[in-house]
Amino acid sequence: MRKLIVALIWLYVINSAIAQTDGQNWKGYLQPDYRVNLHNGLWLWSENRLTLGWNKSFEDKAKITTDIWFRTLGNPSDPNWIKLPEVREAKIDVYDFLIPKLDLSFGRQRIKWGTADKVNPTDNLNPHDLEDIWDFGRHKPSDAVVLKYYPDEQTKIEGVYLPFFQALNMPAGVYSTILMPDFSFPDSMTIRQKPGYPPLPLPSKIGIQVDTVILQYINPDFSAKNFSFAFRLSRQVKGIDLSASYHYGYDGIPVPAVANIALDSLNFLQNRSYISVTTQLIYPRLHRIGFDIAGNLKGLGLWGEACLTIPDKDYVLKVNTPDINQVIGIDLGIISEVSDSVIFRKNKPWLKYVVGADYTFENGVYTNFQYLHGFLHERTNKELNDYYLLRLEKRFLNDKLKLAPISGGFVINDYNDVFSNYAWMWIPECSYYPNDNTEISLGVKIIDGTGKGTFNSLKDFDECYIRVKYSF
Amino acid sequence: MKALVVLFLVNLTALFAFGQNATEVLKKMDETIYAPKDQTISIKMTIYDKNGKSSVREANTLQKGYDKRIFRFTSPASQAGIGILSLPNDVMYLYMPAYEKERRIASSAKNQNFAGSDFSYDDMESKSYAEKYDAISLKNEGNDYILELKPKPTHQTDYTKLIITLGKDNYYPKKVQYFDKSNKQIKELNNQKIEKKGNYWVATLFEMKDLRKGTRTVMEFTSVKYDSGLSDDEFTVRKLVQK
Repeated sequence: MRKLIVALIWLYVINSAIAQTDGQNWKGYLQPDYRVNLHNGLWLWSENRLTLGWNKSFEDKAKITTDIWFRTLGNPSDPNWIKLPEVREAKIDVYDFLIPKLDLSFGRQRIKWGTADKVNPTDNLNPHDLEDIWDFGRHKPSDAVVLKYYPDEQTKIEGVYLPFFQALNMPAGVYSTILMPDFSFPDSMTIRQKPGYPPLPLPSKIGIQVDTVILQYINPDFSAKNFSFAFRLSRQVKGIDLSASYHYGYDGIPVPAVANIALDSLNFLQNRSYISVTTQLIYPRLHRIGFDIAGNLKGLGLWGEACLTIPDKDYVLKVNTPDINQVIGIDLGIISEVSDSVIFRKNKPWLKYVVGADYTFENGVYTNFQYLHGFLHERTNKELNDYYLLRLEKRFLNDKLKLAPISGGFVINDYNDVFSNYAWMWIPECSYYPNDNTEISLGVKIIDGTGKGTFNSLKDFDECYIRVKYSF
Repeated sequence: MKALVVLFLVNLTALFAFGQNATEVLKKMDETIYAPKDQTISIKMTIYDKNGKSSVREANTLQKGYDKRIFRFTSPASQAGIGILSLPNDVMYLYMPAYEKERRIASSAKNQNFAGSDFSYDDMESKSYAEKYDAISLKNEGNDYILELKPKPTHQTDYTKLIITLGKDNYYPKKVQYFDKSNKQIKELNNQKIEKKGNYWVATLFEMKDLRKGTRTVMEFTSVKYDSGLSDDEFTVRKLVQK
C-alpha cells in the first residue's frame, strides 16, 4: 500500500508541476472491480485500477503519449496484493516523418488490427493479456516501431517492427489453469531389451502416471535477431473497408518442446509406474496471413476477419525417457521409449475467422452477433471450436441506464456429439451513469456445459460482479 | 373533352413547376448552409433532461463542403477524445480512445441519439438535405417558406417527413420539424442567432427538442472560422485517430 501512496504522491507532484503547460493533457480513470462466486461466496476477483495517461501534442507535428496503470489485485492479505506500476503506453508519434503522409510511432504501444468486435483473429502483434479472462481482446503493450503511410485518403500501408519478444499474460488468480495448454502424456511407456542380454519376462509396455509436472519457460534470447515484423495494406473501396496483412513473429503461448521424464517409482507387477516430468516450453514462430472486411448493408453493420496461421517449421515434443537400468541398479539392457508428439506441422496451417453483424432497431435496441471459429488461445485445426456470441442492449432514462439482458454465447466443441460437448454463457449486465464521468456496472456470469472445452471448466465460477469506473 | 385535356395539362405543368420550385428552394437552402468552403467550429453542447437538469459537453468540429465533417468531444473526461468522421457514401467512423481504434458505424445506428444528446448520428451526419430528402411541397407564409421534405428511398431514417421553415430573404432554415411514421411530430430544431458573418449566413445557437421525452439540447458555437483552407487530409481516419 505504501508503494501505491508514494506513486500517487509522485504523480501528483509531476502533475502539479506541468499540468498548466499548454498542449498537455492528463486523463485516466479509477476502476474498482469485485466479483464473487455464486456457488460458495468466495471472492473470485478484486481489482482496483487507477490509470494515468499524459499526452502532449506538438501542433500537427508530433505527440507524446503515456499511460500507466497502478493496481491492487487479489486478496488484500496476500503480500503480492499490490502490483507494480505498469507502463501500458509510452510512445512518440511523429507525423509527416521524412516525407508527407508518413507517420512514425516509436515506443511502447498497442497496435490494434482487425475490424471484428473484441475478438480479432488478426490482432496478434501485441501478445494477449489474458490475466482477466473476461476482458476479451485485452493485449499487453509492445515496444515497437510503426510506420504508417497514407498514399491517398482511402489507403493505408503499415509496417511494424517489434524488436523484442514478449510472452502473453496467462490468466490470474482462480482462473490460472483455465487456458493452460494441454500437456497430456501417453499413459504408457514402451520397453524392450537390447540384444545380447538375458531375456526377461517384461511386458512390452508399462503404464505410467504423471506425479508432478515442472514447466520451464525458455524465452528467446534478448537478441536483435529475435525480432518480429508485419505489414498491412488497408483500403476503402466504395464504402467497404478492406485490409490484408502479414505477420511473422512469435506466438505468445508456448508449446512443449522437450519433456524429461524421471521415474519416481517402478512397478512391473501392477503395471503402474509414477513419473515426474520436466517440460521445456518454447515459443513457436508463426507466419500469419490476415484479411478483414467491414461495411454496411441496408443498415446492418457487417464485418469479417480471418487469419491463416502457418508454423515456420514442424514443432515436435521430444520425450527423454529415464534409464530404467539405473533405477533398478543392474544393467539389464532395458530401453524405455515414448514416442515424440507432433505439436504443429509446417504443412498443416489453421484458419481462425469471425463474421459478425450489428443492428440498431428503431426502438433503440442494439444487437450484435458474432460467429467465431477459434478462440484466442486455440491452435491447430483440431483445437478450434465454434463460438456463437450475441448481445442485446438498450438505453433508458436519457441514456443514464443501459440494460443488456441478453449477452453471452454458445460454444460447440464437437458437432458430432453436440449434447456431450458444449458450453453456454449468459452474462446479463446493467450499467448506470449517475453523471457524465461515472459508470456503475452490475451483472452476473452464468456458465454451464459439458465435455471438454475452456468454458466448460468455468462452470464452477458463476459470479456476480460490480464494477465502478470514474473517468477524469 | 378538349377543355378537360387542357385543364389536365395546365395542372400538370403547374404541378411540375411547383415541384421544381420546392426543389430549387431546397437547393438554395443547402447552398446557404454549406456556402463556406470550410468551417472550424468550437461547440458548447448543453443537454437538459425533462426536469431541467443540465450537463455540458464541449467539442470541436471541422466541416468541408457538403459531405466531410469531423467532430470531436473535448469534455467531459468520459467523452473527451471521442470523435466522429462523416464521409461521402454513407461512411461514418467512430473513434473511442478506450477502444483504441476506429470503428464503422452501421447506418441503422444513425437514428440513435448522439452521445446522450437530442441530436441523432443522422442529424450530425455531413450530408446536404437534398441528398437525403425530396422536396414535396412549398408554401409561402409571410416572410418565410415552408418546405416539406420526404426521405429518399435510399436514405435510411426514422423520420418520415421534415417541415422546414426558412427565411425568404436568406434561405437559412429557422425551424425544422421532424415527424415519425404515424405522422406525429417527434423533434423540433430551432436555429437561433441567425446572422450574416462575412459572406455567410449562419446560426450560432441551435436548440433540438425531443417532444417524446421532453428533453432538449442546446448547441452553441463558441467560435467559428470560415475558409481557412482546410485540406481533405483533415477528414481522414488518420486524423480521426491522431488527435
